[in-house]
Amino acid sequence: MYRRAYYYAMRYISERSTDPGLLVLASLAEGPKHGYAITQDVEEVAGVKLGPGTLYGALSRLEGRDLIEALPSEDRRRPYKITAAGSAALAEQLAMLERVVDTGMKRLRAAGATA
Amino acid sequence: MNARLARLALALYPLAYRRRYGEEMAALVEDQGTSPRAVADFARGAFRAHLRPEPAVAEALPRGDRIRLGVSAVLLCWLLFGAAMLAFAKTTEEPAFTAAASAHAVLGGAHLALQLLFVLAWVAFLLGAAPLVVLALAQAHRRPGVRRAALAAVGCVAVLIVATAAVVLVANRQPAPDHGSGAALLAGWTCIGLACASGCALAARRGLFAATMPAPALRLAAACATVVAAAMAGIALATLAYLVALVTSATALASTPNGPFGNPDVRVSLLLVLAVMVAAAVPAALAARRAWRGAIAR
Repeated sequence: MYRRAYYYAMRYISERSTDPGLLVLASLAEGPKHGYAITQDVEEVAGVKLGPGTLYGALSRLEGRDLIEALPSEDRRRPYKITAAGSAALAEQLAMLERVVDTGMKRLRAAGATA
Repeated sequence: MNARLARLALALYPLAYRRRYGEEMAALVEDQGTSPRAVADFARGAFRAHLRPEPAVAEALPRGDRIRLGVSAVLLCWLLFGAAMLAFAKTTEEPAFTAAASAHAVLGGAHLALQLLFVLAWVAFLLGAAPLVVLALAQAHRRPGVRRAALAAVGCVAVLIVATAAVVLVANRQPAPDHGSGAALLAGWTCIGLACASGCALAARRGLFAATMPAPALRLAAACATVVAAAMAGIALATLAYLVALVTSATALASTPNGPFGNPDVRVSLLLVLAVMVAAAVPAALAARRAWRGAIAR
């Protein structure tokens, strides 16, 4: 019972603390994808299942900021591709995250050494 | 069941989102499968899209459709507001309220302002709606969508007339209904009235989208919708002033039990009326802003 509650709490925190826009951009960095392919890729890479409302909220925001663009529709599944501005924004975000990870790991190691 | 809920949740999205992403979202739901979690996510997304629409998506909607959306939303709010006005009139219909309004300047002033704004709102409403109704009816014979909308609106009005006639018949029957039955009758009639008014507003919206409307008629409707929304805000303010004046200047009258639903106190009744007015006036102001933006957009 306690383990299950802990699992759901951790899953909730991890999903809330992950920016869907960043996950979508990271997914599209590999190449154009439609909605379902993006959700599959994000689930595989980050372990986060994007719901339809969250995904299309993120897609509309990214499209509004010209970070992604819609390609001509194959059927009802329209593919999206990352733009040059989107690639730059993704690189900047990832560099910032890398700095956070580096600093956090260094501080953890230092704290471990003194403990 | 979940698939039906997902379709319903998709229908909750603003029109601009449904047009731009509706097909893709439906395809995603087919691929992903539906679960209560996905339905909740859909509903949350729809709520956010209404609350903070992405400008690029909202502005992709044609100018005429933005005006149609704004105007039909103001109409729906105005009908809800009308119910609150009716409740206000029922609450303050006793001669004691007229006497109090004559004795206290603020009370009288607030009541007069409220009545003038109500007349102004009706004039603006009729001025904006009349050309649209005439233009839509002129197209009804060749556009089935407009014809269906017109028939639905007429049906709603007919139901309301029948319900009103039934209520009048029951109310005038001897022996007269007791207080509890009378209140239940009024509550039932109000519910039917609200349902008919909502049906009329939805039919008007359908008709507005199904008919071809010239830009000047839509711009006039947007301007009139703005006046109606402003009048609604003014009436809500006047009601607040009336309530405050009643509580401070006519304390005994304010605590009289004569609310329309048998409320124990006039103050509670007027507070409820004010809450409904605000609940209708705020979305009306937002909708009028959207219609106005559509009207002045290049």
